[in-house]
Amino acid sequence: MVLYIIIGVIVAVLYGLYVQVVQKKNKVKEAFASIDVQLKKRYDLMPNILTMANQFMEHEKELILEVAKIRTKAMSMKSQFDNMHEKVKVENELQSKMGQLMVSMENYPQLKSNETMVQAMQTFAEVEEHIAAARRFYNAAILDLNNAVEIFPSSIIASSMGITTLPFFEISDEKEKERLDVTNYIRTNN
Amino acid sequence: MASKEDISTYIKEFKPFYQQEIYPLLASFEEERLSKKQTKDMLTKILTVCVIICVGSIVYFLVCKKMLIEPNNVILIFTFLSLFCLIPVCIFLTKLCKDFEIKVKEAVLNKYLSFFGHFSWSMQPKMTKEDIKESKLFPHFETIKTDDNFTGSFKGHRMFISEMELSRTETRYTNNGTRTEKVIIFEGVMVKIALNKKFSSQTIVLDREFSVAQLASQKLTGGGLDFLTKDLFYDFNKLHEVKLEDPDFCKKYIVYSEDQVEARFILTTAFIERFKLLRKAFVFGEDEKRIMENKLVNQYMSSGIKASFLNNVVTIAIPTITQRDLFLIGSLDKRMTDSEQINEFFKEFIAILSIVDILNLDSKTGL
Repeated sequence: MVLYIIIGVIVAVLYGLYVQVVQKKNKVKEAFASIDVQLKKRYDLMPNILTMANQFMEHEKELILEVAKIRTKAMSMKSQFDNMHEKVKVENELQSKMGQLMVSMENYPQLKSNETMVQAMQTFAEVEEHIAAARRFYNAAILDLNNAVEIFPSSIIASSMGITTLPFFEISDEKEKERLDVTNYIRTNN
Repeated sequence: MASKEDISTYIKEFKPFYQQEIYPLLASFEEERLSKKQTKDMLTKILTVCVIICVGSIVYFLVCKKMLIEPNNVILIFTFLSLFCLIPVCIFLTKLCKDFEIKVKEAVLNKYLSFFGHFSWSMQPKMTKEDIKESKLFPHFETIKTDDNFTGSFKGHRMFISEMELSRTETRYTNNGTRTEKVIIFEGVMVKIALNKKFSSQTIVLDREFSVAQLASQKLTGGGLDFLTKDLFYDFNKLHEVKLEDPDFCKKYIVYSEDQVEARFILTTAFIERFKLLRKAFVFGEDEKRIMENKLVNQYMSSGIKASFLNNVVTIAIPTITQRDLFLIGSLDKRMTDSEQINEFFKEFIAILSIVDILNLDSKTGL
């Protein structure tokens, strides 16, 4: 009788660990998908901004074209764990070019004061914040999963299911990691 | 009105405004205060005598019973008279103080608040029971008692400020049977601020101290131990824990949300840093002295601020550490133009307004 109880408890504990590992794995998938949802919002918003920018910003045609190209490339890339680094690189490039475009808008007061443009830019800024939030969610989910994979006893369950640690969402471009020298920026604008 | 909607401007410009506009108004009530104070003192003396007679009579009757002596009828009559007078005197005394306070506030406060631009005062509650239940900060309460309520806007943010007490009755099981008693769930200030960020789901920031017990109750027994952790919110299934990056913040607070992404959209790393400063900013007047003397350190450390984000509005519950009446003007015991009373009110109000600055709510890059 006691033996059955002990076996029952062990089975219950193992089942509990199994459920936890599966839940953490699914949470990572959910978090990854949530990044995609936010990225889609960004892609959907960009044509409006680019169309309006194209009408007013005569000297930035090249930049606008570049942004459009990168957007198309980013949209065509499927979101998978395997190509995550590539996708992140492209998204960061897109973000950087959009940032340059926003800065260039300062030279076009007509565009800056356009109400539709102002609203679109505010919405874009909110979408960027949501993307950042989604990335934080993803990293939190990855941390949970990696802890479960590496720490005993859930590591046994994870390895038996073939679940391994996954990389965090981090900046892959070394240039972006460099310290920003603001003085050069100010000198250029002056 | 102050020249600029700014805390430092308020502090700089308040004194001349007070001297010109508020001081004469308060001074006009001094005569009435003195007369009412005399009445209060007389009633307090009567009350003291009644209590002494009642207590003395109880002792007398107990002694008579023990010594099997017949109690004196005169003393019996005095005892009944005292008991008869006790409750009405108490009620009249409380009413005397409260009525005077309300009278002064009605005459002075809206003028006082005109300094801050767009605020008004009222005894009518601006936050209903449903508002508070919807925020899920205190789901299990029965009674709401509000004192001072302010409505207005600061730096473009619409604000409702309410000094309130939330309580419920609980049945306690003792050796002598059951006993019903009133338990105070919350005593302090509830502030509701409209935000410049849009969000559709609900996110709650709670004290970790209470929430661990709630969580254990839910996870282990499906709510079976709720009688131990009565502050459990009822819609637990829709709210999931959000694990944030800041270890100091996570030690003190626990976050639940309907949407993990939106929770992090609201609680950015910068916002979390500023939220941690809120508890330090809300030490109301006298409490600060006592905390400095180490008398209330434990209570201070454990009484966290709670916040609920829903429908583009944040509701923040700030408990007072000692059970003091905040925003007090018109006390019968202090001179009407007593500077301490005025300063306390000013500091308390400024502390509430500074939430907008501390949390950087008026900046697009803030919350």
